[in-house]
Amino acid sequence: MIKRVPIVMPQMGQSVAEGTVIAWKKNVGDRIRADEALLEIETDKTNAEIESPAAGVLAACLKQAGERAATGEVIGMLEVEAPDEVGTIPAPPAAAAPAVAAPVVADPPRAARLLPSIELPEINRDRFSPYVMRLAMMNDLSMQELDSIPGTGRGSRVTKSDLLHYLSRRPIGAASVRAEIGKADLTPQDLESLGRVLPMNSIRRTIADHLVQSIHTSAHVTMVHVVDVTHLVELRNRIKQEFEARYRAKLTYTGIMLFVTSRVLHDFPTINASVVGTNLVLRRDINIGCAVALPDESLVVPVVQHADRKSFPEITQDLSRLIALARQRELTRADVEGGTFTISNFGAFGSIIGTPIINQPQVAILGMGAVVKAPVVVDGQIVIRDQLYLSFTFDHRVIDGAMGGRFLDAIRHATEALTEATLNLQTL
Amino acid sequence: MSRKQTKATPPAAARGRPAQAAPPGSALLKCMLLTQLTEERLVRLYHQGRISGGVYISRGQEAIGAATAAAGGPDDLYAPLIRDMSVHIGRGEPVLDIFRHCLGRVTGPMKGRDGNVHYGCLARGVYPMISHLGAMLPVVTGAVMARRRQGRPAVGFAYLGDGATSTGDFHEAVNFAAVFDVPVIFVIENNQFAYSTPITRQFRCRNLADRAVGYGIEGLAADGNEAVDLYRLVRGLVDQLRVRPRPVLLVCDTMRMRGHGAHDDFSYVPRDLLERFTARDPLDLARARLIADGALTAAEVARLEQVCQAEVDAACQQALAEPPPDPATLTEGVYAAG
Amino acid sequence: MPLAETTLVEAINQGLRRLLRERPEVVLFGEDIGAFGGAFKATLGLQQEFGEARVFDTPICESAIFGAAIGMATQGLRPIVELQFVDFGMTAVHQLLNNAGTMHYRTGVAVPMTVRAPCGGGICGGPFHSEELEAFFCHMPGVKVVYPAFPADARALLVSAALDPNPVIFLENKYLYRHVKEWLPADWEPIPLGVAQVCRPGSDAVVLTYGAMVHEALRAAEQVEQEGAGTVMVLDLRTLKPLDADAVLAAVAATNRVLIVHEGWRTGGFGAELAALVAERAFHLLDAPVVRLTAPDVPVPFAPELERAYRPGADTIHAALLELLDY
Repeated sequence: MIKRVPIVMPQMGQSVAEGTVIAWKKNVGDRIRADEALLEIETDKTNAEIESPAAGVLAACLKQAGERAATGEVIGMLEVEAPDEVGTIPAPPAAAAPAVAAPVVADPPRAARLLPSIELPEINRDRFSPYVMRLAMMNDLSMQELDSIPGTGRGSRVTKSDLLHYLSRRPIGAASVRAEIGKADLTPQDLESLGRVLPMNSIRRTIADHLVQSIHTSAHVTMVHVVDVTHLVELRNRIKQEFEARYRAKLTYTGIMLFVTSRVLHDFPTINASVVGTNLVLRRDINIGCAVALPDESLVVPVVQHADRKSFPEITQDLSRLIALARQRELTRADVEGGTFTISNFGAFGSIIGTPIINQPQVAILGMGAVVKAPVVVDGQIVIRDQLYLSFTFDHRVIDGAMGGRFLDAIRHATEALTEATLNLQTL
Repeated sequence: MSRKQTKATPPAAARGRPAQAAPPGSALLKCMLLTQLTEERLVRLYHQGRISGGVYISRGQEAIGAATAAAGGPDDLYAPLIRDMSVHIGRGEPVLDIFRHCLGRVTGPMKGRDGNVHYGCLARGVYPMISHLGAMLPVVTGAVMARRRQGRPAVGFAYLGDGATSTGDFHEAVNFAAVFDVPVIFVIENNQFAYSTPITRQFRCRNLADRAVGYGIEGLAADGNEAVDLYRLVRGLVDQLRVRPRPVLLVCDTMRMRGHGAHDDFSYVPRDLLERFTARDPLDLARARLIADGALTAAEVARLEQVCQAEVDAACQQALAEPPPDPATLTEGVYAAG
Repeated sequence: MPLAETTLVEAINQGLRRLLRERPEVVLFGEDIGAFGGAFKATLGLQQEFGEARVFDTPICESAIFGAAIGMATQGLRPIVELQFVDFGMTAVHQLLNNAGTMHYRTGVAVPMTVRAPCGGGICGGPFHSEELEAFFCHMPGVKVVYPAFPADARALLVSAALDPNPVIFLENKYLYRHVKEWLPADWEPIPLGVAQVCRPGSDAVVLTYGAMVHEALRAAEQVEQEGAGTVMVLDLRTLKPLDADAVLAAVAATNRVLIVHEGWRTGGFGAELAALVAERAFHLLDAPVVRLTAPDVPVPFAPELERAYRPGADTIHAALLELLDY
């Protein structure tokens, strides 16, 4: 059985790190006797002859004359006849010698690294480190609140990063506000003495929590552009009935803006995104939700899925269907999930400008006001035009004013360029 | 302190001439051959990357250890230093154990916990050295004192090079031994160099033996390369010291024929000095002397060389196959139990 | 300015050369340091350039070497002596501790001497050629201790050490002598003693270390970061005495978890001093106990299998960091 025996660069002197091959005294293929001189090497300190560690055939010279090798690096290979052992697999026939230099002594198994493992004291999760206590004190955290923080350290202890993580998501002023409002001494009778008490139902509470959460999560900034929709008003008046007859869906400004937005968002992936932890996820799909106010003053946001792939007529059909379902309270989970952007039309109530609240975990919402006639300067003349104000709220954590402005500008251009033809076609 | 005194004093020894008795010549030559061949093999193992750290050999100095080791009795104590493998072998260290030790095998005398020239066998009265030159001199002095207190008329052999005579520890040890009349032969192997430093930079006295006067003791100078004559001289000296205990400086003139270690090319040694001593190679001198004296024939010498080579080869092969120490035992034995 | 690839030992040679050139009162002596250039070639070429009166060999006599240095230093010279191995310094430690270290305290006379010593293991040197011993020197009043890990620091600190009016022990890791290289400019300035350096930033833990262990810690920290387990700062102390306590405390404030690594022995090792400092002055900043990773209290063993188990390295530092970060 052939065994491969490495020839290594020896350590000639205690601080020597490398040596240089001067000359090989034998050639590849030569038969070598044990202790026969194989090559001469040179180090900082001295020259030396390297003798063969065994009898065999010189199989490879991995370093040539003039080349350097690190101490312990394999510089050649011998093939040696070794007696067959039961159960061993014979080595493959001499192939190319391994090109990678390896130390002669293989890394010892982990067990050999005997340094005592550091033994940190076992503690139960109730113990907080000095630094955690300090942070808690500096941030007015009560012991109860500290206790409520989930710990990821050993034994579920609360670590510094657990505490910092908690502090970054802690509602601002929540504790003190809660403490103020939830005063134990106010009884229901006290409340009724102030006025009519209307307990919030679960839907209301959920909406309220979402809205407050949204305000505390995103850095809300609202930017306003005005769009000249005179041509759209004229168009809508002209084809409205024919459209509704053909497609059995209403031709609304909301539908038009949804259509325009679904196309423009392709160029603004950061606006069609979700914030998850510290990641900004640029969503592949463009699913646009539409805020629908319900008679009981609650709010739902059904979603037009894949709005960018739908034609304008399809969008209006989808919207009509969803709004009908919403009013009948028959929306399914699938109808309200997956939104990546939201449009909120508060113009129905006459408002022209608003400051809509972002629908988490999205990063922007486009608010539409009422379409109203207004005097506008065109070519030095005052003319009457139909105007639509777009109030665009975005999360300033991830979108800056420049991008917000550019987005609105794009929306405006796209809207003002709409024609009957473009509305009836699949793409803008 | 009580000690036994022998009545007879060998006359020749008292006058510094070699005594008539000599051991079988082959023992001296065998010791020197085993030393040379073992060291040759160790250097080769070092070049092959199989010995870690360093290798220090005594080529050119083998006679001193062989002669002084043979001259001591079974109860005498030895503290060999760097170039004294022939002392170890002469005092019964198996060549196999030397290979085991240098290869760092757990089966070696130091169990892999020390390497190169730091080995010994206290059961046989041979102290393993530490690297600090001169440090072993007061150790063997005290050991001899202890034996003599026990009524054993031991003599000590403390080895050092010319360089170590400059150390404070040498001074303290010799002075101490002198004051207490401890019978230690301080065998000073003057091999002309301490690493790269020649003796002209090591001391100002004419001969290191002159130092003895300063300590109030005798100093002898001898040819370190003539094993037979040296043996006779030292044997006589030992017999004297058993009777009249006192320390002695024995300066043996010799030459280190290789570098300080296997990694040193000793280019600082003047070539004419090297040539002069090459002509006085102790092994050549021993072979010639034993043949001339009729103690051995040339054929017997050749046969002895073969036997020694075979012993070295076998020992090397066996030691190579033995295991290194188990890292799990790293922290054991730092303190004696009980 | 052209850069040259420079090993630690070459940098030290440069530092000595500059001192000999700029300061006529500097003399170098020790065993084999003259024409031979020293056992590790740190003084190569210096005797040839500056002459034997300024760079010379001595007999083997550490006690006389230190003693003579003290005498010269109190008479206007700046002797820089070389120990062939720091291990041999222990034969004459009384000269450093009792003589050099107390002279100014007792007499007001300064002793501007430097002792350069190769230290450390990882080269199968066995018990007497691998010791660190920095803790012993740090324990001496009146003595300073410097231990660089990089070539740039070595030459710059050596000059400052030699120009310091106190006895300074300048430790040079023999494994690093030729194993660490940097691209260095020909022009350079001395850097002051007593200033540590962050050689890797991080915020989840800090490794306080020096000497060869700096490089092991850097490798371990890199691996920890690759694995996503955290970012680890590495603080190279550079001077052990006087210690840059401010840097140590700032590092603890920035990371709140401390791992101390050194290759010297555990009990009474320099790491114990660091751990006590942190516990005393940064208790309120700790998110985990202070941990030391050191060699065990065992003479440095010879066989490579034993030495590898004995000496801390990148792999054990990595494991210790993961433990610490997980706490």
